[in-house]
Amino acid sequence: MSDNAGRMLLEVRGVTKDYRLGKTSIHALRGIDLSVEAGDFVSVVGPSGCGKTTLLNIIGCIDKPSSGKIFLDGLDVSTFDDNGEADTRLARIGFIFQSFNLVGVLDVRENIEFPLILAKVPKAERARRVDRLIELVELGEFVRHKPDELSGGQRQRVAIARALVNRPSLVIADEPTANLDSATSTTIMEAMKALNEEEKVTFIFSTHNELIERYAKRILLIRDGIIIGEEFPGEKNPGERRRGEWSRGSAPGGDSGPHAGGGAP
Amino acid sequence: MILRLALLSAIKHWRRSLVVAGAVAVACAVMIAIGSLLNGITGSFYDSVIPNSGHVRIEDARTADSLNPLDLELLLPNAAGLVAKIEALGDRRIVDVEPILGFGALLVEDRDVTTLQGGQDPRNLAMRGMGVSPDTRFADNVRFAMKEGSFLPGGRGIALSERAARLVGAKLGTGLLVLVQDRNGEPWYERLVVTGLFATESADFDESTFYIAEETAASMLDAAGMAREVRLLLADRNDAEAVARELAPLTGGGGGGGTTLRIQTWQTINASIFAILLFVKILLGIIMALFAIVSGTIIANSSLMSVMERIREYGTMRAIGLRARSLERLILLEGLMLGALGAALGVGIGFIVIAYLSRGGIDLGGIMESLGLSRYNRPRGDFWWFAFCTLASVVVSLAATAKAARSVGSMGVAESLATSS
Repeated sequence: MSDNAGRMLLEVRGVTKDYRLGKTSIHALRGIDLSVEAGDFVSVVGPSGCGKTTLLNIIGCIDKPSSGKIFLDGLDVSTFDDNGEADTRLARIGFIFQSFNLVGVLDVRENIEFPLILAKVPKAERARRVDRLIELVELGEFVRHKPDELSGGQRQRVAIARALVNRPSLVIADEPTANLDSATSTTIMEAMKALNEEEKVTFIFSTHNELIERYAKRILLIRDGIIIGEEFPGEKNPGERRRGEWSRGSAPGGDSGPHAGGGAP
Repeated sequence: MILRLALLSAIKHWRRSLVVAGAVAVACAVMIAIGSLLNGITGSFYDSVIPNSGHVRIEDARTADSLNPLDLELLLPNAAGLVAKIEALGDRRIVDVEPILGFGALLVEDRDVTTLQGGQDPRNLAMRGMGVSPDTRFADNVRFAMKEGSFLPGGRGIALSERAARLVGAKLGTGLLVLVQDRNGEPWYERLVVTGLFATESADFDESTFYIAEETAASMLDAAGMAREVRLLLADRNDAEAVARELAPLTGGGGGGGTTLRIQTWQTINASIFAILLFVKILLGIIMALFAIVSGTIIANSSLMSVMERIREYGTMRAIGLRARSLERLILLEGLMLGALGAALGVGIGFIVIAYLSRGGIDLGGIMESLGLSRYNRPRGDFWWFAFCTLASVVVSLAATAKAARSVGSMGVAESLATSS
């Protein structure tokens, strides 16, 4: 986990993503520019179909941009082949999914340990890291439980532990609380916030929920495939730092263009 | 953990795993059973027909075109001399050489005609007589099928099948009249005691053939030193053509009396059987191939369905950092395990089926008898065939799974994650 907060971790330069649907071209992202420093806690917000998931997928090397560059830890990951992307995901990125996406046949401990095995971490070190994370996400009683024996909140905590176990530079969470009740959502966000503040883990997460987005140090509003503004909730006059005038109900100046495609294709 | 993951996945999706392993097991068992059946047919052919008919046979060249193969005109006039010449060669490849005197005869019930009721004749049966040495090695199919008595003890008596004996009202120890027409066209009969009763697994053979000592036959037919054919048994049947070539000079005047001789090997003697066996092999091969295709399709579809159900899980693994190749290996490993399990089951089932069928044999009826084979086919298991079937089953399973693995491996991570499953 990051111990050099403030350095530039992620740079997204002019990223576009187009999908072909028959004869129709759908512009999911239409030129995204974004920088994230190590230790940041960024929320990406916007209506359904605005391109949040596509952006997170491209940042997370699980989808390729149609054009543009993505630099992670100074490496241009947009030029990587499949194996390079897989290795980058393994070593530098942690994922938390809306529907947890745990491996159903593995128990809690094995789910958390799985990325370490892929990374060929020695057994003793694996045990040490997994033990620490199990303690961190308070799942000590459930290590031998299978995912379908856990509540939604517990599953998401397993997913958080799994995302952190390889000490990634960046954790990407795509609507991590969408499938949770409000109390559990708060618990999960508190856990993520604590990890950001105490462990200096860099998070980028997307959400629909206005209460959840307020946990972020920085909020990016995306609409129709472009970032139309950003906000710093922790600062005294957040409105002064906005990139432009925006409201949650409409795109600025009515310049919405063709509607962006769905979340993930 | 990859191995454990594959194992756990196979267990979790046990219904599909069962379908895949079951399809492999059935295909493997069918391949084993069909192969063993074929092995039984060919084995029975090599074990009995060839030795009984001889690996090399010398006969009158006119026999092939004769309408009556038992015509006494076709006897080799100096068979004894020919046998002596062959024996004098001292060829170690030749295990045995023997003149066989085949002839047509009528077996007649030996009964006091005064005991017969009005209009009733003694029972009789037209058969082919074989005059052989009492210790002949060209009648093992009969020697090992003796039910009562023994095979021409001390060169005495007559050996015939239980079935034939029943038809002519004879029993072990009773007399039987053997009627022939000798070389001069004169009728001749001999009363012989039934010294042996046999029952082979070929009704055709049992109803058509009896054995007496060659000496007795020659006496009855007035054919001393003559024979229908000279048969040779070789240590290795693959030497037949070479031996036949080397015997050719001996047969120039060997038959005597200006007779043209023909030397045949077991391949030419049994050419028609080979053609039928080839046809049977092709037919069974096609059946096996069809089974492999059907099983492969079932396995491929089941694997594909199983994999598609888990596509989101695989997408998650790839998102975590599992390479596409590693994911394909994981899926193949599962296919390999199920293939190995199915093959093991198939071998077990195949073994049981063969063991069961080997007891009584499968009645293949007159087709086999027309080939001179037993009507009961006993499948023969063969280690290498078992090994081949096991390997082939695993390979088919792997190949079928590879298609599914490739489909998932080539799918994008985002696409996999977006798949609802």
